[in-house]
Amino acid sequence: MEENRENIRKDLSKAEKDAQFEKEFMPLIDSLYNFAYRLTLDEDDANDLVQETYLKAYRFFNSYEQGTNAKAWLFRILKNSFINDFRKKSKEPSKVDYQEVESYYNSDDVDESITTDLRIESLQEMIGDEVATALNALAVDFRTIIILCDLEGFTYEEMAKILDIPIGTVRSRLHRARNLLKEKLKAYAGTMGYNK
Amino acid sequence: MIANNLTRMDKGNKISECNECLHALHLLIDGEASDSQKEFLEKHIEECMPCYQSYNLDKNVKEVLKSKIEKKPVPSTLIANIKDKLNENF
Repeated sequence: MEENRENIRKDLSKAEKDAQFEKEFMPLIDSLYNFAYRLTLDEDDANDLVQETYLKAYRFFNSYEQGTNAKAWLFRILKNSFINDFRKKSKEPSKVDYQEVESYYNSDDVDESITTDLRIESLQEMIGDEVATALNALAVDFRTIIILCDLEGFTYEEMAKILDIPIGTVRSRLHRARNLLKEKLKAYAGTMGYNK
Repeated sequence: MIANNLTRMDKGNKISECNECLHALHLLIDGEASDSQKEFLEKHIEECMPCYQSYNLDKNVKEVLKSKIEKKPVPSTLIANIKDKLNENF
């Protein structure tokens, strides 16, 4: 079965390959562009990153198994492109990010209840831009896992594959990311007077 | 893990049950809990107010992210640019 599929794949004409590529991958451009934008926080960079992702996907189309998880495959390519190309040339490799990430990797346990005084009412009064600002303030690793899980609805297993990390790390990173996000949301609610 | 917890619970160790609950609540919120985990968590949050509040807050944060963060529209030229690039390069 597998071999058959391989053989068929190799025999595809360029037109057939293009048609498949278009059918399986182009409908995902909306999610990819939004993921790219949430990572780079810049429309032009997001544009470049998505283009690069599609070029790579086309180049490696033979290694993609048709009918498998196209979205996870493309997200993984985009994430890797972002790390390898974009993060390197980024003008501001934020120091805060590193501190935050480091304290996360060095901590033995998760801090559970520090932010439970964020009120649900305050949360619900916030507008989208405010929620996005809080999310964008997170270090990129934490931001990424929240985007994948909460905005895109990937499973833990899919996220483990996209990020090349074990499921246990997915869980602990997600946990920490959410606690940090709640802190940001709470701080934001405080400055906006929502939490009073 | 859950079995261990039940043993601990039997001994009346409420704190460790809450700890376990808070560590695993995300599984429930994300739809990743196994049947036995789900049973443990649902029963616990039904009886424990602080854990229920924690669950409810996290569930709300997840919902607010999903519903309030606006999707950026894909630039109208992007798809055409990708197709041009593919034609140039391949």
